[in-house]
Order: sequence, then C-alpha cells, then structure tokens
Amino acid sequence: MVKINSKKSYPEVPVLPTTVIGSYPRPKWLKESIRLSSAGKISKDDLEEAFNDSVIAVMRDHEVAGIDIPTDGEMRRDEMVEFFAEHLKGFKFYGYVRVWGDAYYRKPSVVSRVEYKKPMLEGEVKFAQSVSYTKNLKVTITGPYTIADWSFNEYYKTKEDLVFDLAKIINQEIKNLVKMGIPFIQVDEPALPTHEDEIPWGVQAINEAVKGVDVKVGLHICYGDYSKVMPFADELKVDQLALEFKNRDFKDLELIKRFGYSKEIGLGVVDVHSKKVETPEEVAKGIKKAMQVLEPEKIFVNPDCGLKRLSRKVAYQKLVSVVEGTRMVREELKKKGLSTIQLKPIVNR
Amino acid sequence: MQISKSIVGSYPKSPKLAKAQAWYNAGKIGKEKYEKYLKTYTAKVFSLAKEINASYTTDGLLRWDDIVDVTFSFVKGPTKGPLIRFYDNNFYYRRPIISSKLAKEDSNLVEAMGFSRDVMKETGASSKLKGVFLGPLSYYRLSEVKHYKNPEELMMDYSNVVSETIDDLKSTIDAVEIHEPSMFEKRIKNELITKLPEIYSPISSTGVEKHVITYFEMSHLERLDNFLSIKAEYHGIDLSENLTKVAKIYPHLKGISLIAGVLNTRTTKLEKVSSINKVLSNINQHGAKEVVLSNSSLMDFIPEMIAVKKIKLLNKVGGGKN
Repeated sequence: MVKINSKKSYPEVPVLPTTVIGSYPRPKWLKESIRLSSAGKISKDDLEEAFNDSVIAVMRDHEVAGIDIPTDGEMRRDEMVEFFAEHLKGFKFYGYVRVWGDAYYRKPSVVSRVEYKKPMLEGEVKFAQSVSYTKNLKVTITGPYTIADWSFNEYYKTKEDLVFDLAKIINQEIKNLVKMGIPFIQVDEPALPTHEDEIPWGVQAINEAVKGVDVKVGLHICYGDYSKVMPFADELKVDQLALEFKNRDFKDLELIKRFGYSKEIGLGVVDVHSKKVETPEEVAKGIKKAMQVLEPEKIFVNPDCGLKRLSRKVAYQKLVSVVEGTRMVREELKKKGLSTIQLKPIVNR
Repeated sequence: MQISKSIVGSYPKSPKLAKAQAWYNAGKIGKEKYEKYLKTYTAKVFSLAKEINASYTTDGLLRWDDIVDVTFSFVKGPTKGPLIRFYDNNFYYRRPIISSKLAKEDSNLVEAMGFSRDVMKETGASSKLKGVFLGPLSYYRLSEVKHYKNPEELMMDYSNVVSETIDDLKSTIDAVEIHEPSMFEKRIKNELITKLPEIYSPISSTGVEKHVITYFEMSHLERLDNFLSIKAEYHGIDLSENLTKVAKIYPHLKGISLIAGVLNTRTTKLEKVSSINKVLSNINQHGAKEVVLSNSSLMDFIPEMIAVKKIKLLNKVGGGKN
C-alpha cells in the first residue's frame, strides 16, 4: 500500500478547481480526416497530424474558457471501451453494436486471456503535455469493470476473473501515467451501478486498479443509480467521485448527507445531454447547493459527463459558464481566506 | 412433438440504416429515399427467415429505435423522456413519460407493417409475419408514470390500446409477439404478476395468434406458472440465459406450445448444436406440445454478423436442414 507522502510537493490549484470529465467534440476537419484515412485517401502521418492539431485546438478552447485542469479531449479515442480493447491482447471485434439511436461502438469480445502489450496512453499523453498550458493535466482511463461489462466474454469462466485481470492491466497503465508526471487520474466506470450484485467485487477490482497510485484519483460514474454505489464509497480507494448532478437537478447531493460521504466530489454542473447552455448563475447556485453538504475544499467543478456529443460551440460555451459560475463562488470564499488547495491524494492506497 | 423456427424481436440495425433514419428525421432525405434503405435492410431479415425456413418472423423492428420506441407510434399521450438503460444492457431507450390517460393513436403502424409485408412478399419468404408489442407489465416498468395512481389501471389502459391496435393490424399480420422482459424481474411485485391474466384479457381476446415471450434472467422462477397462465397460443422463455435453471423449468412445460429461446443474443459466443439438441430432447421428454426454436431476446445487443451465424445454427438443430 502506498501511503500519502506528506513531504512530497503537490501542485496548487484554485479552490473549487474547474475541470472536465474527458471527451470534447472532435473538430469537423478531424472527423473528415478520419473518414479519409479509413478510405485510404490520406497517410497515417497525415492523420496523426490531424489528431495532434485537434488536441492543440481543444487545449486552446479549455485555456480560453479558463479550465484549471484540462484533458486532451480524448481526441484519439473513438469510444471508451473500444480504444482500450484495441490496445490489449485477448480482444476480437465482430462489428458494430448499437447503444441508442444512431450511436454505435465496436463492442469487443474477449476471446483469450487479456494481456498488457505496451503503454496505451503514452503517446497521446506525451503530446498533450507538450502543448498544454498547464502541468495540471487530467488523464482519463476506462476502468476494469466497465471494459468487461461493455465487452462480450467468450473466454473467462466468470466475469469477475476477467475484471480482476483487467484491473492489473489498468494498474500498470496508471502507474506509467504517474511516472510521466500526470497529477490527476480519472477512472471511468459508468457500468458500475448496472448489476447491483456485482458492485462489491467491482469495487475491489477498482481498488486493485488504483493500488499504489500516489497522485489524485477520481472515479467517474454516469447514467446509473448512485444510491447503489454510495454504500461502498468509503471502501473505494479513490479520492473523488465525479458524478452527474445537474441533469438530476442536484437531487443526488442528498446521498452525500445520507451516506456520510466525506471525500471529494467532482460536481457535474452542466448537462451534457442538453444543448441549452446553463448560465454562470445557475452554475454558482449548483456549487452553493453542494457546499451545503460538503466543504468547498472537497469540491471540484466539472460538466456532468464528457462533452463529445455536443457541438463544439455549445461545449465551449458550457465550459465558459462552468468557469464563470465557479469564479462567482470563489470571490465569496476569498473573503473567508480560502483561495487555493493542493492537487493531492487524500486516500492511502 | 412438432418443431419449427422463428426469428424473434429486433434484428441488429445497420449503422447505414440508422444514419439514413437520422437524415430522414432531420429532413435531409425524403421518404422515398429513406424507404429504399429500409427496404434493403428489412429484406435481409426476411431472406434470413427464408434461409432457415422459419415458420414465423418479425420484420426486425428496423423502423424503430427499440421496442419501447414502437409504443410511441400507437399510444397517444406519453412524451419521450431521457435516455434510460434498457434493463442491465449497455443499450438505452427514451423513457415514456405518462402524464395523461393513455389512448389509442391513429397509428402509422398499419402502414409500416404493410410495407414490411410487401418486402416480405418480394423476398419470397413464406414465414408468418409477426407484429411486435411491448407487454403491459414491461411498459409500466419502463415508463415514468405521473398520471396513474395505481399500476393496474395503467396496464389495463395500455392493454386496451394494444388490443385495439392489433385489431387494426389484423389483415396485415399473421400473429403478434408480446414482450415481457419484466416478468421475472426482482423489482416487480408479486401482486402485479398475479393480476396479469386479467390485465391481458383485452389482448387475449383479439382474434390474432399471440406469442407472449419473456427474456433475461428469471430471478423469480416461482412466477413461471403465472406466466404460462397468460392466455396466448405460444409462450416464449429465454432458456439460454437460464441454463442453470432449466431442470426446474422443464416440468412446467407439459402441454405447452413453447418458443424456446436457445440462442443467447447477449453474447458473441456461438451455441453448440449438441447443447441445443439436448435442450430440445429434454423439452420433448417433458411433454411440451410443440416447440418453436428461436433467438432468446432482442438482437440489438450483438453485431449483425454474429446474429446471422446464430440464427443459421437453427438449420443444424435436430439433425440438419428441414
């Protein structure tokens, strides 16, 4: 187990740090480049250049909006499970599976033991670091439970066996990211609340995935019923739960009180399924509601979920509202002498 | 025991068709162009039915987003709510928000099924065409109910709407398939289950052949007799997801016309023909009147390539092509 190192220096960020959950709309020209690349009409190098340019564009949007802890917008990832399955041994793709409407992904099948081949995110992270306006980058990684739940299992006797093998792989990948100097890792586990009876061992698998990680670790869960996960919140060895609150009208803040949750939250303040841009005042109101159940030092401010399904214009405007709304509340906190916090782990793991 | 085959529920929708539907809904292409796409892909379902010599088939529900989406075409009142997970699948539907009394919508379902019937004719498939409906219990479970004070009242009104819609479809379809994935679900109260035969009475009294089917894990196996007591010509059970429970299911099948869901549509792993034959033999030994072999649930959950492979396996069951 890695214990919090009180002597290690951690970066300082403004109180109520603003961040994102991960994905950002791909620029139209990137989509076109991907299409041309699939049709064999542009080279691999040209596509790589388009990916790099798009990361620069995303970083710029985040910077101008004023986001404290950006990501690279997950420009290189078509889908959150597909991407990792493509980079691991043991997966096979049979074709597209629909998720809703006209949204599809290539749902992978596990056909042999899953194995780590080489670092999966090193390239994208190196590039993001080289063009980032801040060292305080967040890197997102799909968690072992969701990779397994959103794949078909043809090989493992039990899903649990598959999940724990994946947890070891994800742990290796996260440790590699830490070595690269990433101060904030977010594990994405939208599938965790899906099967109630699997949550207890799903939580242990997540703990396995973050074992020994001595930087800030968040866990993002969307879509599900959080009341099923909250009883396990203390057991989860993550510093922060990044959850959707806005599209539930902040009603789930009640769970924090009910379950005596005392770690950090990533507070979702804008709805990613709505084109309507929230006002900074609405964002500030949401933050203040959260401050009624948790100290401001424990609140990070972000959209409910990834922004990739919105238009780039709307996504950007939502980020501006996140930042402006947060600044309004910060002004009040400044008067109380609270202006910065450290971006550091708060849980031993 | 008579053995036949059926394609049940939805067929995997091609991304190209989904795209065409999005274009059509956005007014970017006209009805004629859209229906050309629809015809191409619907024909694939019927050609598959023809290839396995299926006694029954649906049209694959390709016109709709999902089985819940179909309800918006014939039930007046509900509005489309947020995207909600369809049971424990990574598949989402728009939840019906019910804020007023349910009534029958002047449905375009008749036109839609007429379209499918014409496509079927062109492919030369001789299967009986089934219309697909979500059952009253599952409709209640998947909706957000604001108007009704008790679920029975809602389910009864829905049942009446379905019954009237089936009447409209009488000359277009040969049978109806009514899906009740909530039948054995933990969160459903037993008192509702016991009322189902009564709630189903409007549907049961229609003159069209009825296939009531359930799928996914059977958490409350003690409800099996309640399920089989719903008045219908055929009852469909998902055997593929309940392999550890089949020994307890078989004794209930005496005299039953069973739609045996033997192809698991939530895994890409192909079934062994020998295992299906073993199931078939057990059903026979326990005195089922008739068995219709089929996929166990909606096929939205698997890639098309796997769906085709699985359905074609039925040709090898029972000693080969028949």
